[in-house]
Amino acid sequence: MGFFMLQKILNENIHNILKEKVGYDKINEIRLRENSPVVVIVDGQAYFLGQNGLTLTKKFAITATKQMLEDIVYKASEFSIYAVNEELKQGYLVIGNGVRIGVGGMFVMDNGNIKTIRDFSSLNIRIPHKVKGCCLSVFDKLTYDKTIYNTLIVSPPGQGKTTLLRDFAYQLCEKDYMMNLLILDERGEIAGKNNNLEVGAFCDVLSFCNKKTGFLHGIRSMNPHAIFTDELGDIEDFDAIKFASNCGVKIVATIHAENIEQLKRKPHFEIICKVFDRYVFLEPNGKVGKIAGVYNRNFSKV
Amino acid sequence: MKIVLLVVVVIIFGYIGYGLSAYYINRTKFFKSLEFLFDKLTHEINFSQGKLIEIIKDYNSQNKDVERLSKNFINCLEYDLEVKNETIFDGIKILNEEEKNVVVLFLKSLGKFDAYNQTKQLTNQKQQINLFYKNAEEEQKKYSPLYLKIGVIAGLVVALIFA
Repeated sequence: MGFFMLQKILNENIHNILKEKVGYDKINEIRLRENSPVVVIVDGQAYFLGQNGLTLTKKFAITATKQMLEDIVYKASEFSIYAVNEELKQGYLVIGNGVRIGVGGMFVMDNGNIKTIRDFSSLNIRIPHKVKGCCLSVFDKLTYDKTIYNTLIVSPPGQGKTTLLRDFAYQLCEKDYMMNLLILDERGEIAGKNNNLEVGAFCDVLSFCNKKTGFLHGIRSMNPHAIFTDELGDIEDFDAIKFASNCGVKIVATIHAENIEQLKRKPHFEIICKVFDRYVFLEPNGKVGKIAGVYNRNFSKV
Repeated sequence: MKIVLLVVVVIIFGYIGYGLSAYYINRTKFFKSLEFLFDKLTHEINFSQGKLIEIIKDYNSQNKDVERLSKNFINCLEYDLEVKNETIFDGIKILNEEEKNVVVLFLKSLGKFDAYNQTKQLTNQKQQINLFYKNAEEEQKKYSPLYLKIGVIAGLVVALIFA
């Protein structure tokens, strides 16, 4: 998934090492920081990238240069930074197959608004993986009577929330639940840019649209039985899910938190409690995608 | 037979004159077409925000040198080649070094800014290209008919000498 896109944006040397000595299918993230060693995250474990593949020795690591970083962003934008400036302002770029590049650098501000980011100093390339069937171990706990519970998938970043979400949508379609699913893909990570990740035959996708607009527009126009969305964050997101649940639409979403205590400390926890019936916690420090437990609305293990 | 040969001599000299004259005409056309490309880029970057390669591929230039320039530039992007005089002006022989440097500088900056700054950059660079265009137009007015006439006259003189 997305390997072809990575070939297009990475420099030839790094691409060849990753392809031949590491294997793209094992990589979760590639981190490049200006004048620092290239770091590759494989199965949740960080390694340096050397000429001979992964290494734990810093001195053997390849150093990322400013030029390298700028070239990656330029190529990822298809040589058109102006065309991706809105994404850049949010701090990321999405290329084909759901590969997301988080961008760090100098923010250019204008009257308190972000105008653009330049002088890129850090890149975090996240590679999605399709793990077919990864939700099957919890599938029965999230469904009842041919419908689903409002479900919140919880874990720190990079632990496989989106992969689980995508597979849940896919399995619902495969198992003939006959539910119209709306994927509200704010960053193009669930269904990929141009919807090139497989999400299932009953899925409609709204891409690169904020949750407030997407929920309102999606419910009106697509008549979904359930909405799948990623990374709940600010109050507008919670207002949107409250709105959807009051419309009788089921919601499956993800949120960043390590455990129940952290989730309870979220500023909009009271809305979370009112909306969701099931909580899927992923292991925060274990293997990516490992499920720690499924909880009901009283936070008792199911 | 002799008359035929004399006519051939006049035609050859006339053709050389035409070639020299066409050089100046092509330069003017090149810069004019480049200005149109600037306009298209400015418009598309501001409004449709299409991808650079698509905009350039979509530009229907009436000038074969601008077409070649566009092809060479797209090759540089697609095959990760350095944008420099040798790669960009391969097969283009109508520009001097200063003009080449300005065009390369323009191409190197393409697609590297947000829409506002890219448009500003294009506007500044277009002024420079416009200066080249005006110079080329003046040179064309001056030298293009002159070389054509010199070619024909030289042909006639040679023909008279051999007649």
